[in-house]
Amino acid sequence: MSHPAFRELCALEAVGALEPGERAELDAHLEGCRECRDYLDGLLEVSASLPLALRPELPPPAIRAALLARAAQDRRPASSGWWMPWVAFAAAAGLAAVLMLQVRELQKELELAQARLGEQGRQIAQLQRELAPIRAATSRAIQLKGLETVPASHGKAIIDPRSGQGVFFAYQLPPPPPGKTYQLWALRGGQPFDAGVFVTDAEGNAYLLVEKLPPLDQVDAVAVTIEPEGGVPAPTGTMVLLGT
Amino acid sequence: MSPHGAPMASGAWELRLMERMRKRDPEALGQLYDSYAGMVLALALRILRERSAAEDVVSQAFWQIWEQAPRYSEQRGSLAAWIVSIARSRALDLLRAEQREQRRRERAGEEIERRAEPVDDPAEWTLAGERRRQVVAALRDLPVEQRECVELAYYQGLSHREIAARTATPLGTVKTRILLAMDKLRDALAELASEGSQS
Repeated sequence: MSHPAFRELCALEAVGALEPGERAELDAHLEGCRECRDYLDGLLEVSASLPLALRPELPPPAIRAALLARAAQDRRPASSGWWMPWVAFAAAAGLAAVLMLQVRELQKELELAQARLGEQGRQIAQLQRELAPIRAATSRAIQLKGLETVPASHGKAIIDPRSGQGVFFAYQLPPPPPGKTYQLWALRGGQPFDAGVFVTDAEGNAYLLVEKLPPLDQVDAVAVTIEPEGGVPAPTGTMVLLGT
Repeated sequence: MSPHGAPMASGAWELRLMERMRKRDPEALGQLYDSYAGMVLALALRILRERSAAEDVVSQAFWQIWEQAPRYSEQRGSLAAWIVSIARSRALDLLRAEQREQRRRERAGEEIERRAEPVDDPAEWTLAGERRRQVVAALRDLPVEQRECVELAYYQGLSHREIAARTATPLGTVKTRILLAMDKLRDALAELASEGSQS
């Protein structure tokens, strides 16, 4: 649409003769055209002057009296502007959005902290379990030596016979044969008690927390055998480590 | 500015009045009413052509002015233009809502029609003031068909398409007439205002 055409729309707008679709078009043009905005402002003042040509009519006095009486009773605080509720709304909405983001961040941090705390709790519980047999007065520390097949291997066990708890470390054990696993035994009067199965790391080292031994008056010896995966109730395979 | 003063810009008196309105001073509303109620009623009567409805518009318009006084900004136009805009909107809303237009056209009386015409009694001029004479003169100088288009839009709330249909005139012609009329009115009022300020 040409510039003169927008002046025509301005004239129509000034007297209220625009069609709805044209108003949107004019508004869009006025956004970027100062000249047309000034032109329209001038024409709006002209159209507002039109009623001055009419003979003034005197309203009944009752209208004025009722109006002023109503205004006198209107004790509502003056609004500071039509935009205030919107500003307040926008500010509140903005604040709410910021708070929501902060809450989400805090929730993430809280979840992370809780996860860390849980992990630390588990580590502390593990350490306490490991420490318990070490601290127990009835514990016994046993050094294990590698037998014929693994002479370089060795280990140590600290077992509290009364609580049935203990810790075991193995060093320089070769990987067990396929389908096999290492199993730790506590011996009491020649009878083996299952202390659990374990795997070695790449360097042949291993660690086992012993928790399931039945309470024993005494532990005579500790041994490691090679057993089928999953372990067995009583030793069946080759013994590789033994400590007494 | 009083409604009969010139030009159509808010004077210091009106700005002080609006400041008192914002502070909820009913007396300020009374003064504003005394200055503009006559014009507002004339405008409402011109649009509605029914006295009781026009008086309702006066009440509604001034209450709206009271309530919206804090919104008024002289940056967005003169106080007179704001008041006229409110009054015209209320009157046109009433006109459309009650669909009085058709019934009124059918039974429009000569007396009311005469009242709706611009003031042409010189005796009235002394009462109306300079600005009013300017507007009357400017309107009178317009070609009849241009003035008709402006008044159908302004006082009847018709769009240019409706005016074209009502007057059986091509749409483009209606648009051109309104543009020419508004430009002439603007120039005439500006020229008279300029002469007035020099005298």
